[in-house]
Amino acid sequence: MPYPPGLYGNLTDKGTLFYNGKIPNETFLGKAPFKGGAALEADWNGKVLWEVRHPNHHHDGRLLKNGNVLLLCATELSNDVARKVQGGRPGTEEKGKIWADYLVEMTKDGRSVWEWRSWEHLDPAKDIITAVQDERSEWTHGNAVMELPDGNLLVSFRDISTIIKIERRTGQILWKMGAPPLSGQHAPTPLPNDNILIFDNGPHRLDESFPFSRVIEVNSRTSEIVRKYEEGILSNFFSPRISNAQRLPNGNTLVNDGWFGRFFEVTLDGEVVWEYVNPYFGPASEPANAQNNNVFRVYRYTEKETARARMTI
Amino acid sequence: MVNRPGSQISRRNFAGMCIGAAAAGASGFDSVSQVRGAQSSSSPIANAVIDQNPIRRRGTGFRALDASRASPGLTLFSPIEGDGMVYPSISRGRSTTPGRCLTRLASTAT
Repeated sequence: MPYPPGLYGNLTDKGTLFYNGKIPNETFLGKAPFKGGAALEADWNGKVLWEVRHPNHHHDGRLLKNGNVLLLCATELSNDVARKVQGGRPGTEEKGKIWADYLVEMTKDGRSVWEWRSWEHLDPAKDIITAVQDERSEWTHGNAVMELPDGNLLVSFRDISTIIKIERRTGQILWKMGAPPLSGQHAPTPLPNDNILIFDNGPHRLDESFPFSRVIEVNSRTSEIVRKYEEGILSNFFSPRISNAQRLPNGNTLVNDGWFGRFFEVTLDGEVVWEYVNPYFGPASEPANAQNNNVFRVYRYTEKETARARMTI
Repeated sequence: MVNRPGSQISRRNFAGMCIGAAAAGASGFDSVSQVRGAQSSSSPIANAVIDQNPIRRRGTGFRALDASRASPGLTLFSPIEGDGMVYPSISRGRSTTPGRCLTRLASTAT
């Protein structure tokens, strides 16, 4: 690929690779490890079919059903909004500024056709930065966006430990889940039964004294946790950042313990059936004890899906 | 630039070792150990060069496998410290040799 991951790729319904790439710049966002910058589609041979760029893109981008691209972006808040942001460690703003997220829909030829701005729909006084020790350089820290089967959008914000469902037509928030029970979560994913699968990282839980991760399945109408995977000794499974989970066709769940580059598959009863640790470490310029094997997301594809990908030459 | 495990195992060997591990069952997992140097059950530990990365030291690749209960398919991932490659991992509980797409993607990496 022409860019390092910013932060991952996935196979599209037609079998091509949709890939978010990293293009750093000199801004706060541009130097962040979660910077994006480019989204592209490639065929089985790695030929780039099209590419869009946005300097404020980070973490996630999605190919929409209408053929456009949805990018998660961030920018500096106005001083009026920034001074209302609650939570976090005072004095840790980025040169006095606080960043927050917005969504941009772009056509494949790079035209912006729709935007949704977090500061117009969330409340900086109520949707507070969850962890008292977090830096205030960002308010929301979006880390995932996903188009739902009904065309509405699901967005995850780590710093305010909140997931929302956005009505695409009006921009209105239709559903919201926050802390507790959520804590620094990632990658909400709709399931066929309308529930939502969430990797709930748990670096700073408001309802537990110990940090730990879990994968939870949530009823999107009642916000009830209907199923969860966690370790018997809770701290044995803890990924403070990144990570995701995916429900598989046989009912098992693929779990990406991303901070440690560890992927494993569990049955509905929580039994592990395989485990794999990413052997690719970097940066090479760092000493061994400063290298990581982080993986933002992992996705599993059926043999039929990979066969379709081979046909995209 | 990513620190590929090629310094210890080549890309081809990586896939082969995972297949080997899967075929051999739990006893094969030692073959994917990333401990550097000559450390093994028959080597004096005092003479080993210890990998200073704690995650790699615990071992990479397959650590456990019950192929009969795994969901069939291929797992794709992009190491964050990678150079744009997208790697395949496991198909039906076996590691697969990187496919054409993935090989080509690797060859275009910068």
